[in-house]
Amino acid sequence: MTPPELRVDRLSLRFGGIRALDDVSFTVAPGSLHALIGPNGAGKSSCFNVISGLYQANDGRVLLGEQDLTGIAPHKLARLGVGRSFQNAALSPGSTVLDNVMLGRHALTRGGFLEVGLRLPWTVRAERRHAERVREICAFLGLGPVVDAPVGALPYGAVKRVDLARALAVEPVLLLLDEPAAGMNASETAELAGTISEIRAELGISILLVEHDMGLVMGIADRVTVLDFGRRIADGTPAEVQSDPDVIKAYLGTEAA
Amino acid sequence: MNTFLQLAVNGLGKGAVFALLALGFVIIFKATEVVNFAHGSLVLFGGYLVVVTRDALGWAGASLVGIVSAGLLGLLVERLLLSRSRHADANSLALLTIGVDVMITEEIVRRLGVTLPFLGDAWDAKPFQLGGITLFRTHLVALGVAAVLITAFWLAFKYSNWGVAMRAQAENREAAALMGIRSSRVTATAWLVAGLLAGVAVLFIATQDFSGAGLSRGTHSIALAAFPAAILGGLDSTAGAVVGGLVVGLVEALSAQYVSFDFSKSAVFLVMLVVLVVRPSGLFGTRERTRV
Amino acid sequence: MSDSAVSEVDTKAAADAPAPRPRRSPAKLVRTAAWLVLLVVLLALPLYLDAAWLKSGQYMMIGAVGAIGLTLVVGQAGQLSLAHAFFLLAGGTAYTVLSGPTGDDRVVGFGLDPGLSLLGAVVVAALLGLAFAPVAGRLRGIYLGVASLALVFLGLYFGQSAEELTGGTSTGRTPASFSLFGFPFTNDGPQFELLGVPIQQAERMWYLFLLLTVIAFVMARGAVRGRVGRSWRAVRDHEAAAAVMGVSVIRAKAGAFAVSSAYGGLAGAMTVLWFDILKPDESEFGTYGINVSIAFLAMVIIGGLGSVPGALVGALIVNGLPQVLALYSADLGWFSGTGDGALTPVLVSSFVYGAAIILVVLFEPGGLAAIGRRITQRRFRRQPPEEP
Repeated sequence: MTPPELRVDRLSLRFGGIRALDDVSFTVAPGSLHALIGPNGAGKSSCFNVISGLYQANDGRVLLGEQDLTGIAPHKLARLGVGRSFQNAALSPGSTVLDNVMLGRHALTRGGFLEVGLRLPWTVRAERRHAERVREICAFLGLGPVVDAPVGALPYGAVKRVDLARALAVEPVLLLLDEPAAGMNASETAELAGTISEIRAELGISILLVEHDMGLVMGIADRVTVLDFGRRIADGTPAEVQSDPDVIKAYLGTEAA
Repeated sequence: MNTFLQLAVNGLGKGAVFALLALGFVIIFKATEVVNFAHGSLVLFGGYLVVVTRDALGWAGASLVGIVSAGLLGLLVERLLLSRSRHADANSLALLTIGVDVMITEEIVRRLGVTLPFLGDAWDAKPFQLGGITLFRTHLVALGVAAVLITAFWLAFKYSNWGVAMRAQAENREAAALMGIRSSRVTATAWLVAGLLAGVAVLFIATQDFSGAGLSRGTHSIALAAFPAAILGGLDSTAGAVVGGLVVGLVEALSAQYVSFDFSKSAVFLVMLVVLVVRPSGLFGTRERTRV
Repeated sequence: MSDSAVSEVDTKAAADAPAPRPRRSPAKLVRTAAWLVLLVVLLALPLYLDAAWLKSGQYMMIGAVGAIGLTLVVGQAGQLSLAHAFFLLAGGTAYTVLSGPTGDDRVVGFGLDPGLSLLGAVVVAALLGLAFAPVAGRLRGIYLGVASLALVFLGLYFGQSAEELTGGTSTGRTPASFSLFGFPFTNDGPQFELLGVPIQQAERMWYLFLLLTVIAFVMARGAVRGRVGRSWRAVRDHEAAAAVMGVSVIRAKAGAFAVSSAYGGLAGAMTVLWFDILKPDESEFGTYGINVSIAFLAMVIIGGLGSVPGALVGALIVNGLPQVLALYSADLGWFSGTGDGALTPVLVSSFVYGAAIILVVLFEPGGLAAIGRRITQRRFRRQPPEEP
């Protein structure tokens, strides 16, 4: 099964007078690993938040296959197969890894207070079945041994992987990764790059990756879109983008400043 | 028409007192993001000190003692309890103030027993006629005093070092700290000022004119109306606190006359609910944007 | 150096931690056994305690039911509610009205079966909680706490003005005594003994309250451990992440509020059965006043926010203390003073829980639940996980 294509079409987003996104378009080909990069404040995260429904765009559309995602409440996107990780992991530190990752199954399960509270047999069975799948996902990401440990007790690298596991638990066709390498050291980043490639190979899903750091991206991405000051300044293969004078200027310009 | 005019003046007078309470409440929130549930007990404490010292010092002296003690109690609560809990977030500290409120209120109510003293000696129960309407001195003095205090606060907030530091801290705590602003001093002053304002307010609340009841548990309940006042205006807006206070005073006075006295208290909270549904951050509060 | 150290810790933690087991067997067994022993003790207590003690035990169970509901919304969903007293009044009124005799000139009654009325009281309270959804679903944390105060004031007005429902503040009205499928929870009906102890009103009500408390407890635990509780915690800890994972934040908040309201309603129905009267308050301070909302909040804070067993212990302390002090005071000659400045059991309890709130926030934010967790973990695990 090939995942649908993600089309970001002429997206604009304003906060008061500030243009966070200005007419941004790009397409994530089915099953590809697409990176969205740019210097700080380029609008990468804003773009991500629009795609995952947290921000309302002022203009433009986001299409997943035939489905228009613009204007859909964020909690309905999980059911459409959009999974996402967070820059700051955004987990519950007091809860176990299993409990945190199980949240990703929310859209795949049913049952309100009465059904779950009364432990009706079908809710118990569903819980067990989904927990099994979640354990598989955790094992796949090397979290198997710490599944029952509270997230707050884990080292940083493991916490980031729990966040990733939660996004995968949604069983996404499109995986959005928001700066997965943020705060990681070189060896952790390398390990992560391997994991991401593995996810793609294993699941065949589309991945859209926001990254600040070019190194990780150039190694694994099929295609790269570069934003600067809310505008798209380049779009192409890593090699093309790397030699693009505008991109070099944007990166060197900010780094020199 | 005359009834309405009279109600409006009385409502504004009450509203001025609520504004003082709400302002203190907002000052604390701006400085620390803590919702101070112990505000009512600061009011009671100030009032109680007036009762205790009135015989020895006379009303004016006792009032001064009451105001200062309420301020000092605020300072004490902040220094002794809140500043000690570095690990607790603002929400936990708000819960802590509930504990403080219970203890102080219960003790003062116990000490007051069945005596419910009135505190507004200088202005209470001396109504006069003006152009066919009855005016209460308490409300007029309250309006005047509140106008002076709020102006003074506003000037201090705008121009004094403390005001600048306070605004900087409310804007961005870390940046303020980097600029050399001593957050503990700003916070402590906020609690002191809020306490002082509560100490002033009680001199108007525990009167015949305002509530018809002396200092008691009821005074604490009346002080609770500072919550809707502050929330109405927006918890982080000092101007909102003043407007919210006046709105609460007017709503209470008007609904007591035109609906029923029992309803007037609920009316205040109902208005707050309506505002919250339409504008979850209050009339003048800043909307928070979720950061991801 | 530091780079490799971090990744080493990472893999080391993974390697050292125990392999995944389907259930933590010894700890879980002991825990289950402990709960069973507790249940057996509670079932046996009526055989040993006199009516006065049973009555105070019932009062603690009212607290437990209410506190369990409150800890769900405050601790699990992170939404402060000071409206619990309002839902007690709502539930108490609903039970009394639904079960009340028809054809009374002064007050309205529907003459329904008491068991059905009890269920009705829970449903009415839940619906009232849902009606508050436009506020409860959209406000965050402390904001909701202040907004929910409005309900207590509305309840006060309702109690005073809706005399045909509540009976009014001066006289109140008597609720129908409870019966289930025709079996009365009074001294009437079939008489029988258990180990020589006659099972009469006090004993029967004890078992009724115990049953309600156990149901309330089991359902709350089930929900907390399952899908519902997870969505609440997610909303509490990170609204955006919760939404992205498929949780409707507004629905989760409103739902948690409604569930806690239902618990409050049940506690309210139990309250009027316990007092054998529904009597609305004359001021903000009373049976359904702000002080009661705060007392429930104290139970929840002391027990540990979000902990269902903690709520039980909190209720035991906050609702139990005044009862026990009152029972002992007769023997010990305490609290003999009356009038001005007298110390009463209620007053002493207020001091105790006021202080307890302060101490918990300052020194043990996880409340008694966290202390309990540390003790059991020391028992069953070599390394307790660090607090974040």
